[in-house]
Amino acid sequence: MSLKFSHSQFFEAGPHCDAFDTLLFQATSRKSVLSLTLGASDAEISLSEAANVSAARIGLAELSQIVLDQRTPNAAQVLYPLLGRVTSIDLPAGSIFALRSHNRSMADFWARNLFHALSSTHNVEYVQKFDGRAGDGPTTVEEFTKRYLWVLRDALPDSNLKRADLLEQLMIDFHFPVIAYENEVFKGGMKALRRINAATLDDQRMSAEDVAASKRFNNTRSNLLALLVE
Amino acid sequence: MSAFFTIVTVSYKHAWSLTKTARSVFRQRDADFEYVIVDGDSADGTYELTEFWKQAGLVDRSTHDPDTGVYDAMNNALDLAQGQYVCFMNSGDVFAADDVLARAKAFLENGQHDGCMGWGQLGDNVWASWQTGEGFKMASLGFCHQALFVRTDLLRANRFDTRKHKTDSDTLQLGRFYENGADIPIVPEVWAIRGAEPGISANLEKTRTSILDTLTSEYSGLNSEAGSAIIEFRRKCTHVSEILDLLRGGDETVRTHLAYTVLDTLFQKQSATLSAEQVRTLRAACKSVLGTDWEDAENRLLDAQIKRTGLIAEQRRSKADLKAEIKTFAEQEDTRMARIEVPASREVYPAYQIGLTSFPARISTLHFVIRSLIKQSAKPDSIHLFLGRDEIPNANWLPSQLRAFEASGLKLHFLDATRHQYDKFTHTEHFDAQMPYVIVDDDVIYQPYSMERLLSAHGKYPNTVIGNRCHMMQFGADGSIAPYGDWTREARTPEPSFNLVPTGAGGVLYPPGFFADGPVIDTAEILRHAPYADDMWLKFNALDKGIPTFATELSSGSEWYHRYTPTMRAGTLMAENVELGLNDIQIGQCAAWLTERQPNWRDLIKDQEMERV
Repeated sequence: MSLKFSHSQFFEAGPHCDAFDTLLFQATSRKSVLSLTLGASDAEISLSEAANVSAARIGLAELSQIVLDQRTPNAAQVLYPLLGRVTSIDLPAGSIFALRSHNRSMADFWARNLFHALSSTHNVEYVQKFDGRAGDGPTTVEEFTKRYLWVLRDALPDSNLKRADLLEQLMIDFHFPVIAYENEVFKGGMKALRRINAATLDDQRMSAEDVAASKRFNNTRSNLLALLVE
Repeated sequence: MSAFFTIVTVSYKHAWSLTKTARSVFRQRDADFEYVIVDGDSADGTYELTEFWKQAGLVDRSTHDPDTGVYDAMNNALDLAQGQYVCFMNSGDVFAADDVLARAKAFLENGQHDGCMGWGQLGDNVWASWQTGEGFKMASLGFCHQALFVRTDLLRANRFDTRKHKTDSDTLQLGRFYENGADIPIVPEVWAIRGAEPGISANLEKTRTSILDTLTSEYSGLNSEAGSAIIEFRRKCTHVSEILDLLRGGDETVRTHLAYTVLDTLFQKQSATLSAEQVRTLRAACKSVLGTDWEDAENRLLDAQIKRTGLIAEQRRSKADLKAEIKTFAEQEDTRMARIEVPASREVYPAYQIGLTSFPARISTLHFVIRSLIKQSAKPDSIHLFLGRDEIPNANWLPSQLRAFEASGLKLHFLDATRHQYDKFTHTEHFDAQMPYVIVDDDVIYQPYSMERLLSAHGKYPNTVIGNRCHMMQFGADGSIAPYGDWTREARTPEPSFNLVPTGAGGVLYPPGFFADGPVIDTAEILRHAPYADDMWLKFNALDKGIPTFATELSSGSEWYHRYTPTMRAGTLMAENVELGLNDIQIGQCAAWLTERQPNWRDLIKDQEMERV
């Protein structure tokens, strides 16, 4: 079951959309997965009956070279989508925290739940998905990023989030510290992302022998911990 | 000529744990060793137990004097040791196999090494040492002292730190050996198994104080804050930034030892909380610290961890196989139970109780045994299961199928510390000693009429011990008891006999009052005379009371049981008792005990034989 919304329908604040509310109700009552796919100029919301899914799945365009895992600090997870642009979200029923309030848009519903998923659970997976960039004017993806920023601004006040060139500055800040954050979450989150990025770059500079040794180290450790932690 | 090894067990108020440890030492019987026990004046039967072993020639020396703690006792043991190498196998811990000493000797006998170090196991986990060197002063690096063999003179020259607050004196001592150039290589095989009882390291706060003291006094470059960060990283993998700072700057010895500590910690369970990026950064920092030593260190570490993974996986597979076997067993038993009707007996029997004990390796199949006891034609008033908290802490550790029988009369008794097979009848405060009391084993599925046979015979011979499976004691021409191996198996006589010896496996009914008082439940007497042979102890107590034994018709032809449970092989006493000759030693001890109490007890048997003639 899926619903398609135009750019304006998706971002428009206003009255309830019965079809969406029905889908949302079904997702929570059947413990299904509610999915959002952002296209070039529209948004598709669908329901899938995937059993035993507990991880939220975030599709990112221009997926950064760095790889986050379940133990990456939440502060870094919250900032991560701003480095890659969100193109899809799969939310298992257990990860739906915010419901759609009366006069807020559907985009707001997804942005809030994205924030909740990244800040409150470690159970998040990332995948690379089509970036949806097409045509003139702001795309659905870019507009959604803005909405996500609004949620951040609301939850974690920091005057830097009001800067017009914020996304550009974030990309630079990812490599060199250029933003003086007021909020400790952003400070810690970006520091963690920079550290991960530096380590990833180190890996890329490694020789083939070093890469093989590192792989052996990690595989040996993973095999052992899989037994110890099971 | 002195023995090659001195095995030392220090113990304090752990007499029953000591029986387990000593058994594993006795099993190393082909090796060249002496056995020394250092007891801190326990007054819990340890003295009596040690005397029993000394008389049996199994323990060479012992002391029973107060000490200031485990390390003081270990130092005292060094004065008693006459062997070339010493291993401390403390109370509650055991050797992992019967040939550990033989393997250690094969490694050491050319005299080129100052000692050697095997691996240890605790529960499901294997402690895998991989790095030799003075880094042991900072962390245990997989070290298990029960698997360590060190030259006696070296130990005497570097005694354990006995200050009250020290809990890490063993690792500190090992670090000092290496610091002074000792050659103690690692043998990557599991040589020792730690007991489940909490050891000296169980008190986290006390351990923390001790390790912090070691870190700040052994490493001039470490202050209390840095030391605390190392302890917290080792325990919980927190304080990663502080650890990275320490690895990247400061004292070179600290950095090197910390690199080994970090690498070892990355292969412990607590490191699962670290992110991939943190692991990568920590590894890179360690690599940078170790420089040219890195490749060797990493290879040693990974080879050890791959082997450790294999060992743990193999144990998991065995567990899974046993689980599958139990599943098949359950299906077969369910089918059998569904097919048989067990009508209540028409006879009226007196109320009776059943007592048994068990331990972790058999607990998963115990419910089959209990079901066979509940589905009896003559139902018991209650079934008393005795478990030691040192092995099974509480009812939550029991399978639900077992706990379900609480509604049908199963009574669970958790005791502070297990007395093993003696638990089933020495805790008289938990059962009515004035009622007939049947002792059974925890690995036997009983026939539905087993208990009725006992009760029926009890009706006929009320003041008699009744057994569904009995052996016939034999005597030599001089009146001495013949070796256990020469006794007639699964025998019976038309009337009660003093010669018959019931074995617990078949189920044995003891008449009312048998366990009410007297030496039969005196644990010091038990430990002195028969620590491993409850059947013999009970038999000689019956003779002491002038009570004969009657064997039911089940005693001939192995009809006394339906089948054994799949966990039967675990922890059986039979092998040690028979192979080590312990049965005959204990029979001799019990007979001497009885002769002291009743010099003419053999007349009971002779008179009975005369009557028959």
